[in-house]
Amino acid sequence: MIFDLPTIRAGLVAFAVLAYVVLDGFDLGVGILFPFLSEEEERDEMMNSVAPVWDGNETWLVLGGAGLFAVFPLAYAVIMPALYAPIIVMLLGLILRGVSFEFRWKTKRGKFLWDCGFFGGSTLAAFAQGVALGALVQGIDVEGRAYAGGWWDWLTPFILFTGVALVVGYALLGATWLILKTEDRVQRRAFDVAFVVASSTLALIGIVSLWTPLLRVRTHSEFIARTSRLRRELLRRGRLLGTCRIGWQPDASPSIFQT
Amino acid sequence: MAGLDTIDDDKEPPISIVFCTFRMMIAIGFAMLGLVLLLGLGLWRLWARFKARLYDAPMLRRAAIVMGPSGFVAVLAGWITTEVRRQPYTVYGLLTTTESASPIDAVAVATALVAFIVVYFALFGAGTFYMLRLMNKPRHLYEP
Repeated sequence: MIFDLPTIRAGLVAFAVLAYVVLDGFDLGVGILFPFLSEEEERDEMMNSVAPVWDGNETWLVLGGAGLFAVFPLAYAVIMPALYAPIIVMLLGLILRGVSFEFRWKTKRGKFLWDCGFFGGSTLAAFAQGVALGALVQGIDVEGRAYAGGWWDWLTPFILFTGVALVVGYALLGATWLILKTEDRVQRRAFDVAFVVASSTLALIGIVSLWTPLLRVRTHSEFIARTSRLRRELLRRGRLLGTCRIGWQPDASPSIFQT
Repeated sequence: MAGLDTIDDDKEPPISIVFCTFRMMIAIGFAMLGLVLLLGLGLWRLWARFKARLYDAPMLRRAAIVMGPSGFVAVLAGWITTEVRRQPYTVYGLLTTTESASPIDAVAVATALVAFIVVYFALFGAGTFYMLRLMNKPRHLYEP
């Protein structure tokens, strides 16, 4: 790989996005897990665990977005019209989540309203980010140097699925953060939630990974043709695994990975 | 520098807006400076002689309250000055605003704008309500 300026800059933007996902992932995740812990003190504890740091974590998104504009302005100019609605929804979700932090303490009657705002804003922002990711994976119509698609190109099953998958992924990050930062009751609940969410995340990653190459497949015969090798390998390893099970010797290592 | 009368009529920014907002911005800036000087000089004088007069100057306190949102107004005026007098160019002499617009529908942008206005009104309204409620409470010695 040649380390010229575009590569280095792309690496910087990628690092900013990675830092954003890891850091804002957990505070959006805490918001997504809000309705699963129903005690008032538990919710206060959850919110207090992210209250000092969430602002700084969100600045990595600014770095990623503004960095994309500065470093690859043509990509920015094509992607932003394509993802206009998801990005606006994400911004509104982040706004709502941000003010919920402060307004929650100022009212007793309305506390539940701002709890909903915190949960709704976090989930909306996470879902919109997943939609943006899915749209990038699915591809954006480009003609010349401009975006050439419609306004609802991002409304497909695959993209909505990646949105949901990212919400679950952020919930995992939030649960692990709570395990790290809280104790007693909240931590025990967080352990339970984390197990469920972790297995869900793995399953969803698997589904998205299998679905991605199928996006390009349009007919059944093309599906058969493109997946023939995969299916052959799966059958072969399945048979080997079966024979190896039947003839298992304790001191012979099963060599199902032999070619 | 070329005067405004040498530029073609279709390459001119709307002057009336820029005139007003620029002077508004400068006026607020000088007003802030004046208020600070008054408060500062008042402080020095009271330290030298009376030591209690600052809290007895109602006009000064009223002026301080009125100047509360002035920073916000000055910043907005400054931005309007910059963005309006830049027209019709994005980059002066090279790129006009019409050329630099993205291929986004007016409907999409309008929907986004309406969404932002609704959300901002709701949140600013709630914030103002909570602030007013906080201000109307009697003073406590210790903040809970």
